[in-house]
Amino acid sequence: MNATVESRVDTAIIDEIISRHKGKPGELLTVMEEVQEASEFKFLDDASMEYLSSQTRVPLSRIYSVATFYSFFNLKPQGKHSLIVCRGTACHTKGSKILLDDLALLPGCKEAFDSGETTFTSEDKQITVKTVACFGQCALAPVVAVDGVIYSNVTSEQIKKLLQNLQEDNKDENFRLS
Amino acid sequence: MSANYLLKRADFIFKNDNDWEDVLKKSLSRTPNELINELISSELKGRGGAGFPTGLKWKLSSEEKADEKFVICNADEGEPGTFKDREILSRVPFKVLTAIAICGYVIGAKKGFIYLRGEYFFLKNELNKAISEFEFFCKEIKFDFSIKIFMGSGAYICGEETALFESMEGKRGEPRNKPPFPSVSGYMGKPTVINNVETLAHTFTIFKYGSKRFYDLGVQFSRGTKLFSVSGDTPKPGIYELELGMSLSDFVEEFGDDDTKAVQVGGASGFLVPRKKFAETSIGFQGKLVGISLPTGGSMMIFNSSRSMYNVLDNYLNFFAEESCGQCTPCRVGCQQLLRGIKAVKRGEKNAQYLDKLLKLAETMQFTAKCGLGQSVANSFASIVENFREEMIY
Amino acid sequence: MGNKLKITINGETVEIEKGTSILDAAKQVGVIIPTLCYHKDLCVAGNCRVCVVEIAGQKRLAAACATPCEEGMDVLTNTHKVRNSRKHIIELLLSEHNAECTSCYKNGNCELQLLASEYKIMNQDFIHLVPFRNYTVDMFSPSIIKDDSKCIRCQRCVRTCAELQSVNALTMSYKGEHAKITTFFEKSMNDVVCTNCGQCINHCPTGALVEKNYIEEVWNAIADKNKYVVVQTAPAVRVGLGEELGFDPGERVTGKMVAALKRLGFDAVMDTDFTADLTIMEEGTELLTRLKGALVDKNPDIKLPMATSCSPGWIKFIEHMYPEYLGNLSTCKSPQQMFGALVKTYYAKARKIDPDKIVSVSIMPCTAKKFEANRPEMHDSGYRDVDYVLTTRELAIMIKQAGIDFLKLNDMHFDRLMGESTGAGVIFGATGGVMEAALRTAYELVTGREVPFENLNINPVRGMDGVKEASVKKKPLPEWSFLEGVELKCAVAHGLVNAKKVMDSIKSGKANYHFIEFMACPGGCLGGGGQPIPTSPEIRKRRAEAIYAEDAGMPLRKSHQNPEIVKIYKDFLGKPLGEKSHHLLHTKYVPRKRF
Repeated sequence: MNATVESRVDTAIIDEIISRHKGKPGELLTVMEEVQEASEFKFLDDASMEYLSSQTRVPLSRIYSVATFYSFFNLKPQGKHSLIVCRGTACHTKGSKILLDDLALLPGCKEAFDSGETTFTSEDKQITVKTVACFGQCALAPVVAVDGVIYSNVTSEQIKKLLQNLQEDNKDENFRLS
Repeated sequence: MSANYLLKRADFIFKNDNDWEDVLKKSLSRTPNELINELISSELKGRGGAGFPTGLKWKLSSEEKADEKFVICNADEGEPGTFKDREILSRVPFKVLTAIAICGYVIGAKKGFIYLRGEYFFLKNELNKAISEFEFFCKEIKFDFSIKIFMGSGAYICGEETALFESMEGKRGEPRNKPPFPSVSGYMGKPTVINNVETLAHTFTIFKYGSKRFYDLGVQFSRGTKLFSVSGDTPKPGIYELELGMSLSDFVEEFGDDDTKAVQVGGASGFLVPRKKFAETSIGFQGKLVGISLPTGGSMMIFNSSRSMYNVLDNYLNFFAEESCGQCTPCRVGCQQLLRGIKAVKRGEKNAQYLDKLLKLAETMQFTAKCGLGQSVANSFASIVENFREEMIY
Repeated sequence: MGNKLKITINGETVEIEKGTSILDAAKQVGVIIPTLCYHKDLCVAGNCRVCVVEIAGQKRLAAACATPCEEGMDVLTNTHKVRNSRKHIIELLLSEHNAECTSCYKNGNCELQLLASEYKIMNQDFIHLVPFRNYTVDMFSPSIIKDDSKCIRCQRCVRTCAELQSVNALTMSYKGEHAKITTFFEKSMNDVVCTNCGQCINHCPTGALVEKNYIEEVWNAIADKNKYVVVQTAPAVRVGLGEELGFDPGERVTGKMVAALKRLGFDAVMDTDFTADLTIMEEGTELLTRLKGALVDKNPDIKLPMATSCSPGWIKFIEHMYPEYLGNLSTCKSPQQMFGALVKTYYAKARKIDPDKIVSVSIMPCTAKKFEANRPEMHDSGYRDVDYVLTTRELAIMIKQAGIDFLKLNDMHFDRLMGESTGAGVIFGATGGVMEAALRTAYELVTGREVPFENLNINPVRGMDGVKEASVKKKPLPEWSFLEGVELKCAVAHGLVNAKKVMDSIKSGKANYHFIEFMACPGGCLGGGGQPIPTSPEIRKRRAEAIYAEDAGMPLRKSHQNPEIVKIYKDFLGKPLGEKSHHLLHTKYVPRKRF
């Protein structure tokens, strides 16, 4: 767990993903998603993109262009856990910004979001914090998703607890909060 | 002039769908023309986008000659404050699948797709199970039709139909120039019918009960019912099926918290209605407000007096500045100017008259942007700035 | 009726073909609609929205470039609403544009600046967005400077790179307020598949993409009394330069150009056409040697088809995209580099000048030539063979700076020694020209007769079709008897998108050519990335006509007739493909990463 996160996805895995989707229109997005999923740190590294491009003959710049367009693609290594705060209007008016500020407990997190970033990964690669435009769970605002599980009507107390459990790898504790 | 129309709840969409086999068989025994006429006489208009008459949409595609055609169900529900499509797909998926297949029969398509919003990944497995069952039945009755799910990758703009096609073709979700329209050249350049989830669910109702049953609901120009996603400062957030044509005061009476200051109708791309205009505003395709004829309509967000309208607008504009595809000038730069502009006014760096310049800019965006996103930014901007000008300044 | 329909524009009825855009229809009735993202060479994007017009009965305005006319349409291009909207859009573009016009390289030749001036944007009070961005200027490429702060996201460069060149070095990345034109992972243009062809520069409406200029360096060299500054000019420069200096496209300004270069202070003004003729001798011999090796000796190492190697954009393209075919490239250096290697050897010796004191400058229609001159292989004279490469545009700037009234100059001739050329050298500037020149010489060499085309004009390889084919069957002289019955199959491709087509057909085994001319730019060098802006199919056509007129007017039209060529082989080189040639005039290529 240090700075060397050159998590290049095994080319055999990429080959397998490509062959499984070959010929399907729009395959590129699906293939890219699966390659990202196969990567240890859930991101598309440049070497994997290069390999993907050489095998599919899709220009590398186009793969990059697509990867930067959609919020689901990560160009940087992601943390082991994800904590996503909804900044949709309903959540926003019900205090999602405060929740984001509460995450200042994670060093560097508040600064990143204040400077306009929409994603932040802790240095130890334990947690990635993101915001999302809207979860479509507005009736439950404010909403937070932790490793894909939705938490509703989240309070400052709760989000701090959620964060702490993730930091301590105590995921099961979190389920009790949902 | 009050609409004088009481709130009428209805229950069609979520009523059980276990007779879908019968509805499908019955529909397939009719001619495509009969089905199109059924839709046309129901006066159903699209529940997700520009309120285009659904029957006409199907008719146009059915008249195109092509070796392949497609039906796409637009489930890229991304408008902040909208969550009805998620409910439809999880509670009555067979209605939607049946409607997609009937549409395929009408226009001559053998393939249907559901473009599912990436954030709704949790619906995928159940939906795929439903599709398997559905396709199995189609095979049994010798009806050649398949449906596939295409997952979105997190871009609001892909709810715009041509951006959605681009995305399905593996490209950036950038809206295309229109014409050509999807009925002529859509997904893969083939004639395509693309309907919102709710629209398709309504066609099921119409094919099941006949157009008259649907037509008799609602008011002139706005027939039938509509799902509303109610959120914000309300004691009962959730999804409600209501007849079209209700007045906003009735709505607020039912759903407000007795301190309602304003209602945002239609999400970020919709309109903000202040309390003093509740009585004169009715919800429908015609009238003073075209609230629900906006992209992914049906969002009703209620704000009470504790909410700052400046914050709401700031949130919308942030959203648009991020989610604009960035292709066309008015939307890409316009959204940034509106956002930075209201901040500058708030901070006193620009004087209050600057808001008037921004209002004119918003109007230009409405006239000149390439797609519905950029064109509709003016809706929330103008309605908030005009009605809550003092909140923008002080 | 049938394929025609009628619309009215500002009240005037016009009958047009079905499918015509409002923009094109308006042109027919003399109505000008401003554009920015639109370019005749490219597909329609409809991005900038500057071309919006009103259609009666519609609330929203329509983009004239992207909207096809419909029967009965009532189009208004000059209403209050249209003018105000356009003005707004120009203001928006200016707000995200680093409008340091007075210090911009494109000052005076910027489409955005022109629009701002036409619409008199005097009260620019939108918030300036540039300071909020973290812009850096990419200066690492020897050919191209990319300054994102001047970019207006029209994507003309992106479309150029994809549609005309199929290089795809540039792309649109991110979205919304973060949308920008980048390379893969925002690497420098120098580190990606960019071929330095400069077509993006030719198609950029602003100063976001410009050539790296070496004007000051050349002025300094001229001013240095200890230096002997020689200059060579490529064939296509003489049919483009006039456009920068007051002439219409298609004007030949060879004599004035030579006169201007002398006035600028160059010590010797020479002609790349000379080494174009030399290229024909070397490359023609190489082709015949390869044919012999393949047909007679059946040597499996001999690679056919042989591809030309004059275009450095094409060379870098094949190095990236088809490295397995590098053996098919002619080993001949480009005329520019042959010239460079000879100036500091042959010329220096003949003129008794210390090569160390020679500064070798070339004027090229090309930005890739800047990269080529910078290649480590190009030092065979013992020095850097070509020191500075200027584009046609940069030369025009120097001429203006020097206060030369170009229109009034009297024609002058190139200096002797490496200044003499034939019509065959001149046509190198047009697509098909190298092929035509090669055939004129090779045919005669092999058969003892002139090519069987009227006035030596080999029309099948001329013109603007993307891929052209020709075949020649020869009745050879006895010493070339192995060519008996052989039909020599040739192809010509210009624009890298067409080069890709030909390469893919070779790769798939569908094509069996012997000899192929490849040029990176549309139209060949006359449409090069260093030529005057604007460019269009019509302008390139006119420049081509000028090239062929120049050729037709030359007393000598075949490379092997050039007396200086005869002389250089006699005095210096020995024979084509000889040892000295091999050392000075031929080169190697390096495989590069495909993506």
